[in-house]
Amino acid sequence: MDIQTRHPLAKISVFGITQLKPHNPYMIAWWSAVFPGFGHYLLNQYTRATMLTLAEVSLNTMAHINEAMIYSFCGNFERTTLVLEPRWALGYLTIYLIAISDSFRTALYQNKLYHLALFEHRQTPIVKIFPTEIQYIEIKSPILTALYSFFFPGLGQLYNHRYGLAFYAMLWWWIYMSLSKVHHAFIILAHGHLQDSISLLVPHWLLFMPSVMGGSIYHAYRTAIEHNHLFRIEQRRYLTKRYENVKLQIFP
Amino acid sequence: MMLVIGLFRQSIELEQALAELEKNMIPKEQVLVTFMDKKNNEHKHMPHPFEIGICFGTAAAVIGATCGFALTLGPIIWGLIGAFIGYWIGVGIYFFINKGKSSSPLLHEVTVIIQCKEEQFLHISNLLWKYEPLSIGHHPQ
Repeated sequence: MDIQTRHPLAKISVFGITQLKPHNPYMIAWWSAVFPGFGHYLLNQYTRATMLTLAEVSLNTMAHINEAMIYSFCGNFERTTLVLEPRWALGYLTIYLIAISDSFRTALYQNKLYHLALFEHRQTPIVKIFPTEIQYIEIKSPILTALYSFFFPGLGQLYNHRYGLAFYAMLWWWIYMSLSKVHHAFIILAHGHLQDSISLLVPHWLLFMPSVMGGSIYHAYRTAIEHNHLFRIEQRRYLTKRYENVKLQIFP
Repeated sequence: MMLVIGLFRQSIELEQALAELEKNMIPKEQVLVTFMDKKNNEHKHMPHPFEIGICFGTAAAVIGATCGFALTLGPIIWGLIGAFIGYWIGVGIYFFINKGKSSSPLLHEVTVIIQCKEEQFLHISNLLWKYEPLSIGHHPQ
């Protein structure tokens, strides 16, 4: 009878590959600081990460954090104080900081789980077929997936078989583009009308975009590397076992 | 007898080649598969310079776009400038901290040694060449 693995290394589900992997906890904390939830995406805790991103967008919008950032970075501290909504800002701050420390702590713990899982690991199925999907572990190109996400955040996740996150990210990119009017401003800028393009932009929605793009590129890149790592671990274990009874003689 | 030695990268093609070999009457006892390690082949926690670049680039793009609202060139251009400068600052910091530590690229190579009869050699080497080996050698015994 199979003894159930206490620390499984990875699971293939209809949504893609979910795995334990070694993390750099500072990197995870950094991405949580860029956009609450992004650290948890890197930790493969997709549900809570998605809820954190939804909380970030709505609380930031209600507390006017992005506008306050613009005023304080431009040195206009009086307007910063005026624009911030105290009703939402304090709660926003608490959630923001706890999300960072929670992802840092989780990264440290997942490193320990990964360490144990690597010892316990015997075999992972590498292809799974579902009525609506085929999911498998394959060798991926980290640079190609980063490039995909650079062209349109979410496409890198699509390349990595994480289609749920991919379409969630793409939907938000469309929302950011239309609410910030960046595509329109970009076309006007390309025609040389600098002032018109600046006054058209909506700062609040524009300021989400660099973080989302950076996060999407990093997540895609890192995920591809981790899939490759998993592929190699599994292949090595399997083939080493399969060819262990070798009888060939190199020096007859 | 003949030894055929193939060097592969870890890939799905390697498994296709091995599966084909078994189909083509080479029992798996006559195949030796060795996974090649490099010094420090452990999965490193050390980030790639690209990762540090993206981290700094993202931060600088946000700051650039924010300050850009008060600057002549505006948030789009300053955001892009920020991303570009930030990226290269990140990469620069990476190489400054890791000065002198050269790391050879991890190729994740696998050596496959097959023992076969001399008349099978051509067939086997043709088969292996179909599955993207890095190189193939042979040695008569």
